[in-house]
Amino acid sequence: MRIIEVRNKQGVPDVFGQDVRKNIREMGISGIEEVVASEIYGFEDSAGDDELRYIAENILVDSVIQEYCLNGEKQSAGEGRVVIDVFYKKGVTDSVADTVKTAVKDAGIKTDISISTGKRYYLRGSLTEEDVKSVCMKLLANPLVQNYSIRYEEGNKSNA
Amino acid sequence: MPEYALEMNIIGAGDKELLEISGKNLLALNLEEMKAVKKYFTGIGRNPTDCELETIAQTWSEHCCHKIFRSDINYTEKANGKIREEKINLLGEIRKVTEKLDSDFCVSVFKDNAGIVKFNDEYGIAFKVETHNHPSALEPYGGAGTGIGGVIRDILGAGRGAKPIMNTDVFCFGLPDADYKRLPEGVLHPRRIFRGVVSGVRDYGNRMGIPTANGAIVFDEGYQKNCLVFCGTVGIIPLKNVEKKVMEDDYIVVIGGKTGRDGIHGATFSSIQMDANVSTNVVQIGNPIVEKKMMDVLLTAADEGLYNFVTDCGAGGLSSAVGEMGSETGAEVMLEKVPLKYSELLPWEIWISESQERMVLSVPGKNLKKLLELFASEDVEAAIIGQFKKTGKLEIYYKNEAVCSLDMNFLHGGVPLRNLKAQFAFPGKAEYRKDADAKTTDWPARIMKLLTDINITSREAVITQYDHEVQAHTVLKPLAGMEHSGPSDAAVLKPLYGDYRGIAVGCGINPFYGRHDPYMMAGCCIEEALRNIVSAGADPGAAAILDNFCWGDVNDEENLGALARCVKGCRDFALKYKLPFISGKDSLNNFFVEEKTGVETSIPGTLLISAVGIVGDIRKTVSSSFKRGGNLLYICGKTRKEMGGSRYYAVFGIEGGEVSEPVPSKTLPMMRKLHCCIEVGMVKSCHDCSDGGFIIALSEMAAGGGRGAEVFLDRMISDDVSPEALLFSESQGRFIVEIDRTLQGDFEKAMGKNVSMIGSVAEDGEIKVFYGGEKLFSLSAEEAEKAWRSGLQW
Repeated sequence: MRIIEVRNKQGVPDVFGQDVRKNIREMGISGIEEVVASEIYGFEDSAGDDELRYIAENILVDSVIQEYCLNGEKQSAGEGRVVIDVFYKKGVTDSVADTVKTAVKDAGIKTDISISTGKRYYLRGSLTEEDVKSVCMKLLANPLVQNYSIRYEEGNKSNA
Repeated sequence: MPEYALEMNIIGAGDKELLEISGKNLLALNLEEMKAVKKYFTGIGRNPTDCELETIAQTWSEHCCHKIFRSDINYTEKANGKIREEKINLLGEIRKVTEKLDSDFCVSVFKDNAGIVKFNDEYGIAFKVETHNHPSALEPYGGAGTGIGGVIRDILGAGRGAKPIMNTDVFCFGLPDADYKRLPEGVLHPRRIFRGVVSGVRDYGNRMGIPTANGAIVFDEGYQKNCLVFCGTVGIIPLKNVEKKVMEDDYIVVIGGKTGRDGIHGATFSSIQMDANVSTNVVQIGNPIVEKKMMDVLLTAADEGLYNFVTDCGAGGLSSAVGEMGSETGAEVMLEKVPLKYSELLPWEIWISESQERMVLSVPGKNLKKLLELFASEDVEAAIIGQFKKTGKLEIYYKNEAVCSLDMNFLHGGVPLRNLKAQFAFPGKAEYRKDADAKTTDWPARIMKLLTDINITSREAVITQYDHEVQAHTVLKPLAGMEHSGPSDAAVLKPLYGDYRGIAVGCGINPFYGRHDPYMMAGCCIEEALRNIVSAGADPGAAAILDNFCWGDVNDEENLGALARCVKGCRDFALKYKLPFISGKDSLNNFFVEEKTGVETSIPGTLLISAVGIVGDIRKTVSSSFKRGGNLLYICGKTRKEMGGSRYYAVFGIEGGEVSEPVPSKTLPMMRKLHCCIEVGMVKSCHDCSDGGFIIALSEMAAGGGRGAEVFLDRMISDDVSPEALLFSESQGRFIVEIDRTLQGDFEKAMGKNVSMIGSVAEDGEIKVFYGGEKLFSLSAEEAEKAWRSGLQW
């Protein structure tokens, strides 16, 4: 699966991320310092890179306040954050994905595109593995309808 | 050998096997019902298919056919050592009210997807309130969104299609400071449910272009494991479109969304208690864009009269919708014609799926082409899936194989109703504890604490997320005053261009009273709903109400007894207030069983009463905020020491006390007089006293108006009660009214003994309270406002 990530440009407040940070604090996890949230769109292999860039630029991104990256390019490595991706499980109605599909068709792209939508969270702070898991289960994902994956950026000093 | 349907061995099954079949397939049918099914199939000499069994389970589910409300109940009431027995039928009692009142105001009651009352000679108002509790507990965002989506479709499916003009939302959540670590497995934290539910209603309602303009939120420990989400929609419909009838040979057309595996078993699931092991299939996720497109094209088709009947595809999916539509004729369905989200669905899954945004039409052959063209032109799915046939049978095929053939009579009349037992015992007369009366003189501190109480504090943080202006007809909005800083009692809409007639919508809910006495709770909820709309300017003589009961485990005789007592309260008080019930819904079995311990918790018995009334001229609508310094303040109605279940007792941890008893014989005539005063434009502001009592109502009026007041407590009408009770008692039947000084004589003459002048509005921003010739305390209105607006800002 290839991923288009849409996030706010530098300097544009990430209200959603701040809200998530507040909620994590409320859970009693005080080690959390910063949360950055972005939207992710996962594409199965049918579409080419050029098509994906076209889709990102013309359908998914509000170019005034947002930017995108494809497959993790432009990623500033080594910030040592926890990265959590949350996607809907297969079979669960994904309305945003359906709408993107319609928009892709309306934009004249003929390739049959298979897509799922989700959210990505970058967590910075001193968090134990248990903290991270608890945040996923109790806040970011509903295991009934969503899957989540956890990965650590390089330079992560977990188990603080 | 059938290819698409599975034979279920019922005929040869003993009691144990019957229950196993019901349990394994999530049918939620009890032994008696399974036996009735067995008897029917033994009679026709064959076993049922999986599709037939599922159809029966959906149609007979508590959710769809309200077995408890339709059953006869042997009800025993114990009070003061005496035992009274009576036989009651819950639905019968509710309907009796409407029958006895026999009001011209009612147009269509208890038979359609929504109740319909008269707006003017040309239009009716359709109103329906639904619950979506279980789905919202599991997936708050999706559950609440599809709840509002569903009730919107109820309005679209009322008569031959009403146009939705407003949504209401009422929620009950657990306490927001619950410990994350102590929540049982499978229960989401109340804050998470709160945020999810609010954003679900917001996103669905706003995207549909329908204002969300009235509601309430209750927080209580008892809702931690089962939250309640009530969603309501008001619509407007030409009176000529109210009646509908399925005609023989009409085509069955399903419109809107495609069918997937989502929401399978929602109808039966709602009768099964919650625990940690629920399957993902029951979760529904909505798509408001699909529904919005469907709504627009459906209303065009309604205007052109292209179909004979429309209904919503809700709980039970196509099985319920088509089953009900064809109950008087018969229906033939080709399941392979249903548009699917993906191909691997089994026939029975297609038949009972609760995928959202779907409705079913009954279309005469002559209009079929035009209708399909219309839907195609707007890019909305419309598929012919069968035909209504005069066979008296429900016949379903999948690729030419019969997968279901049931008699409509058996399907709709075959459910065995149980004889239930219920009992209610009064906990004994509620004494006031002698040490309960406050020794304090520090009233301002108590008031400030009460203002920040989670059940009193401003709902601004939620309200401002909703679009309450779209469609540009919301006259009285949820927040009152120049700065939108005070609460409104009701929403007032002006639905028609060039006509100043309006609709007022309000609600009453108070589970805290129910803990003392469900009967009085019913009376208080009915009165509160009525008070709310009357405050805003509605005519108490042109109003109607809806009931929504949410109860715990009703297999428990005491829980069922409390429900029966609540229904009796509804019957008696609705009759006395002359308010017909026009629609209602019950959601029973809201209880949770903890997996590890087996401990069962039921929600507090909860009744929501929603009221709709007519405002003759919206230019006379009154808001709750103070308008001008120097204006006189009146209290209408008498204050008694009624502190049981009050917010004041709850916040300060005082137990006992009597719960407020409504006095319709006094209150209703007073409301009529007050209405006359509002109608002639005499009243500048009006607010009813409810949660928190007189002083909270006064502070709210001050918050909205940005002004203070000077009031003399001894001038309140009462039987000599203490300042504590005058400030905080929650006696029913009270309003605070602001009048221009020059109209003092007129107002007092019009209202007679029902009112007493208690003081005036003060421009200086202080709330000064006097008692016994002395100043009891004063409070900065600005600080009170700040406190009141702070409680939900997390």
